[in-house]
Amino acid sequence: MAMFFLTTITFAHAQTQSNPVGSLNDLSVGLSPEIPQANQEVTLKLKTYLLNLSSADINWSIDGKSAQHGIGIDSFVFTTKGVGMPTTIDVSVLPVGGYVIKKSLTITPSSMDILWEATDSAVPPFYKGKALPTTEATIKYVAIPNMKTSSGTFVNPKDVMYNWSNNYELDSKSSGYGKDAYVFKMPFTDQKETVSVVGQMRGGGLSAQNEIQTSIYNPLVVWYLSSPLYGPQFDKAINSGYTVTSNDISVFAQPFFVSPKNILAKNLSYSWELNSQTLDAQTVPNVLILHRNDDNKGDAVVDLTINNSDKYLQELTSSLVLHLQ
Amino acid sequence: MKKFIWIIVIVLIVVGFYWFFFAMNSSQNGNGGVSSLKSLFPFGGANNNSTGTIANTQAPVQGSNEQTQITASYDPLIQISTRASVGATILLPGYASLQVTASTSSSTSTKNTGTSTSVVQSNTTNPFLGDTLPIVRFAEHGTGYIYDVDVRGKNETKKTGTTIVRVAEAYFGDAGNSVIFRYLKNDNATIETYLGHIVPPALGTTGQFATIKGDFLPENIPSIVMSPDQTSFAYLFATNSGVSGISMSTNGLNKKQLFSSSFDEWTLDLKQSVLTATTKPAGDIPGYAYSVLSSGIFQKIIGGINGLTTNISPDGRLLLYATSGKNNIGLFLQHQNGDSTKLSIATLPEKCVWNKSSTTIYCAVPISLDTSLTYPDAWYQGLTSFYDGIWKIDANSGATTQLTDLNSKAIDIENLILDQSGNFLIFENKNDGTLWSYDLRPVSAQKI
Repeated sequence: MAMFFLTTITFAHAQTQSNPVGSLNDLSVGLSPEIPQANQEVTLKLKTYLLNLSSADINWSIDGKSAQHGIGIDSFVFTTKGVGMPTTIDVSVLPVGGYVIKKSLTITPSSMDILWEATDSAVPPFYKGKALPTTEATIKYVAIPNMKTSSGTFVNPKDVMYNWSNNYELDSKSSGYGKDAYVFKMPFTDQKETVSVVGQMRGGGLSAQNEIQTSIYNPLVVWYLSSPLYGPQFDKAINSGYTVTSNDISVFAQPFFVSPKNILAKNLSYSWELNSQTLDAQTVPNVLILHRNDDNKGDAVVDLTINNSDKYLQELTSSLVLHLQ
Repeated sequence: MKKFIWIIVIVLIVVGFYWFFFAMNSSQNGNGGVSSLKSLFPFGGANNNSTGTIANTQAPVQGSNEQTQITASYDPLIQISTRASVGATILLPGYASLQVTASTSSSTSTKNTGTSTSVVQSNTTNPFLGDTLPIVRFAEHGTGYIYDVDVRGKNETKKTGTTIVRVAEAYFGDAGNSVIFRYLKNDNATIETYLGHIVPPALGTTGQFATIKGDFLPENIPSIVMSPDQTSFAYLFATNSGVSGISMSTNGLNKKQLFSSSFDEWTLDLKQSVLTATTKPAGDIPGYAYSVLSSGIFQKIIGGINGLTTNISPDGRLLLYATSGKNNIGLFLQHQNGDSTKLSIATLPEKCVWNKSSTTIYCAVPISLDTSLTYPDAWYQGLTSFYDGIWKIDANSGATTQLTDLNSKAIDIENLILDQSGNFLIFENKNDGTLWSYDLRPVSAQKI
């Protein structure tokens, strides 16, 4: 949900008479939503404490063309244009026994995307997909403003003031000019976190806001073959089992989405079993090298348990069946 | 009367002769004759696209003067190498930059020199039809050796002798004369990237391979992309606050920062002058794609699309994109005005390639999806493999046409490339890395 916005309320010609019934300060215009997005339906509503709008003659016009006119029409609905494209709304109000009051608004939509990434989530090298967060993952949120000035130039993200909030509480330390990133550590509970940002162009004018919820995901182990010539062969997993025809085999256990990114970090321990018998620690902790004699045939079950000492209750288990032929 | 009987006999003989030589041959060129020829041509056979079997002269064995007249059915689909590839490019027809001896002869000779093989001429000419076929240059998985082979799988020749074990990716630049190798170090975590220039052996030498000389780029480059003209490439470089996008000429010069971003997980795409950055995808998680302006500012193209993957047209006006998640992939074409059209086929855009004029897209389309999986994650993780068919998309109308079901072969297509003329589609089979070619020419123009 990206948003933007520029509203300028300008003073049109207000007739100046002595003892007028109604003046510019007696009338304001409210927007819903407050910061409209591009191509979004927006409702404008007149607000006043002194004037009787239900009997007033009200005229709404959009970009200079009259769009709605009648007695007591105190609201107006229109659709914004694209990012950076201004729409000007003029409204004139003639109260009974009073003088014409005019107001003008120009709305130029902007938008703000919030991207996020789990900065300490492990994926294999060359992995084309997104690293997902698990419990207690550190997430970096990045705001990408899409703000276009009236001259058609895009606003540099470093020229935007960002106000970051976590679960609707402003984090002033993380907010400021050019601070387009916000880092947050997810809790170990399975709860969604809401991060929101409001950005405003330096010097005022264009502004945009957005919010996002992130969830946590489960880690998993994917098994691959490995060899000195090819290394781990990440294109083809063998999780559904593998038929062994050679005497030597090297299997590579890749934990996805555990922390930290380095899967050989000390806080990750790998425990191996082969046919329910515990194996010694492997030279490369996540790689199991097996040798079999020619007469070894049948199925062998490899079990792996990965414990993360830095994460509360993070344990990962996986099994691989090898069919020896 | 006797004369009349002789005339009848002669007429019957002529009619019988005609029937024997023409009608029978006609019959044998139908289905009845194909099966016996299949044994001679392993890829010949029932293919929907090859509706008419093309009568051709079989290529003779090199060194033999015999030319056996055999009619063959032409299969536009062919495996062009049994070696696993980690990256390929198509050279222009007649290209022969690595030739040892300058020669314009149309014949190709291979000299075995015990430990190495050198090629006198690297362009491939069909010895029977006289036309030149484009050459595919590819790097072999595991060794990094570079080979040339024509698009019909003939005349495979080893070009370089520089060994780069564990090589996982290769990008060719400079019309095939430069190569970027990407491999995993023995720690299984560090990505090395090496930009090399292919140096041919000295003229007049035989039995020598070309060598590769160059320099390493920074470690752990997460994403790299070659420009369409192969003169430059762009890559991501990790910084303290995120990443920088860097461009560099394939000669290693003209290094320039294109952008900086606090966000790291980008996939880059470079088409002519358009650099696109798309967030790395995960099923059912919104993704975003941006065009990177010359000022380094990101201009949004599309966003909030679950499992977003993209492939922008060469002219930058159309965006082929997919939305994906649990048990679903949807393919769309976004026009310049922002309107999107859902296409009748479902695949990932990286399994597609645009033609040069941005009017046609060729896509590998999975025949079915495993309904229990989330895409594209499961495919990237290697947990599933597709059986693909090849489809053609009219980029203007969105109309789709199936070209082939790949004869129901277990081919999971990736890294598609199209030759300059748009006649040959080259791709890798993700299952084993082998290279395949599909002849897109009209049946009447297809030749062995």
